[in-house]
Amino acid sequence: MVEWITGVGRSTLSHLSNLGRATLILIQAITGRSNVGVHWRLTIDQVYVVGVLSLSIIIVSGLFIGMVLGLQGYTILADYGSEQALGQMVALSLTRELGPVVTALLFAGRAGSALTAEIGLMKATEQLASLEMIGVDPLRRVVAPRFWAGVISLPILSLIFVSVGCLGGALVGVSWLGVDSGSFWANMQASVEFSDDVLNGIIKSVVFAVVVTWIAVYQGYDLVPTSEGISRATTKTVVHASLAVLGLDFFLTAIMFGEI
Amino acid sequence: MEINNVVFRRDQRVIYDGLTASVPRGKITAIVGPSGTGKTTLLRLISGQLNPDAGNISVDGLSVRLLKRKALFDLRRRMGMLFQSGALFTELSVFENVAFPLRVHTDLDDELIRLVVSMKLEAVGLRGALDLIPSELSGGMQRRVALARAIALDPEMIMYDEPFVGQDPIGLGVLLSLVKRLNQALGLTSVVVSHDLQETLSIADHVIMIANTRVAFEGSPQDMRLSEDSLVQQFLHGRPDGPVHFHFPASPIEDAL
Repeated sequence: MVEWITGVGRSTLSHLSNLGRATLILIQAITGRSNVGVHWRLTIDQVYVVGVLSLSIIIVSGLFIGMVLGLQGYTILADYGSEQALGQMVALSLTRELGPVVTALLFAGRAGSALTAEIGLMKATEQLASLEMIGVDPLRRVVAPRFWAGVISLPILSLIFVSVGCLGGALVGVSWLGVDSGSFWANMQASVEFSDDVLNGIIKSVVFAVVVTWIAVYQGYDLVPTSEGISRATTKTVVHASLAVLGLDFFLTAIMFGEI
Repeated sequence: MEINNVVFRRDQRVIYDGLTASVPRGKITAIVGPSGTGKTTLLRLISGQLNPDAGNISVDGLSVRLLKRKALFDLRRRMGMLFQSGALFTELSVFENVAFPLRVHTDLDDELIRLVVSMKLEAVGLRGALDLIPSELSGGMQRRVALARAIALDPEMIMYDEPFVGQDPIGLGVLLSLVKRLNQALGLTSVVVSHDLQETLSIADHVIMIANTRVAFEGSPQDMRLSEDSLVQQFLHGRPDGPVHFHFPASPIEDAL
């Protein structure tokens, strides 16, 4: 029993210590003086790497999820003779939930793991140490641009996902299953509120972007610089980021739409 | 540079237990000792990449562990370090690797940067490789590029971690001569960690030998050769038996079988 309590205590302290270290790394990375021009250019370079290069998986996934929503939604709504509401169902599902959540999960798998592996490999090959010895803070030079790139990219990717998903829903609902095109788009337009739905979806995306990218850069920066260490850290990035996204989604949904 | 009573542990393993030594300004100091005694660790402690558990290291009168983050980075700009692995930026060309410190810390225009980089690469014999990327170079050549990068800003002090590993006899001779010339021409304070004992001692003015968590010898290379200390003699002549243990601490092999 004593051993069990000791183990729980040790594990709790270890998690708190990790959280503290991750917070310090983030604060040191995003605060302090820097050359704005250089850092802006580095951030834009990273937006290309983590954002633009993730476009294909986001577009393809968005299209198929929209198509599945269209198909499933039509089947259910047709039972009640409400297939005209398909546009509303597809748009609200994507804007409020599936867009931010699925994009964040895909982003964690595609870009988050790549960020962790890249920073980790730089650590293992002493590139971070050599930056320090050149008098350049790796947190400002390496971590900060990647963090901001994630925060900028993920909400945009999420908007693209939702847009493509709506087109996928229309493709199946209107072009294949014969839902009236006017009803589909008019219902969608009438039911989706900018402040309630789109804005809340964007807020969710921003929160997920901060959390996923923070986890990714921290895992890369703090890993044990061995091949096994890099492997573990990339796995941790995907697992921790995915769990954090799903957990946070519940709380954010409860706050935004649960009227609590 | 003064190293005073430094204690450093990695997990439960004691690396230094009261290490005290000094590195004279403007001289070449060789840090030697058996493998695993923490020679590279000492360089990392000097540069503030690691902090000692106790004791103090001061560089130019500044206590490294007490420096704030910005002051520490300012101090590092006055240091150069050649890493054991080279630690080149893999996505940049040889030219951009050497130009990196100049671009970050100076306002030199592209023409001047090209000139300085060409001079530094010429010194290490790799001016012809400036458009290659690190993965196209051998390990020895990568270390020479890293050396050119380390001296790009003409630092006041330079630390070399195993600079001669992977060099053929010609490269070794050129590097030895380069380290000596840099020291004499620019008045650099140089710290060389190396296992190439005879070559290192041939250019060193001062030697610090680390063994068994402490400084086993400190003095000139001549004094080291004349030392009657059994530990120094064992190391100089590469004898397997003596005060320095070849085997990592372990239980008797009979117990393991």
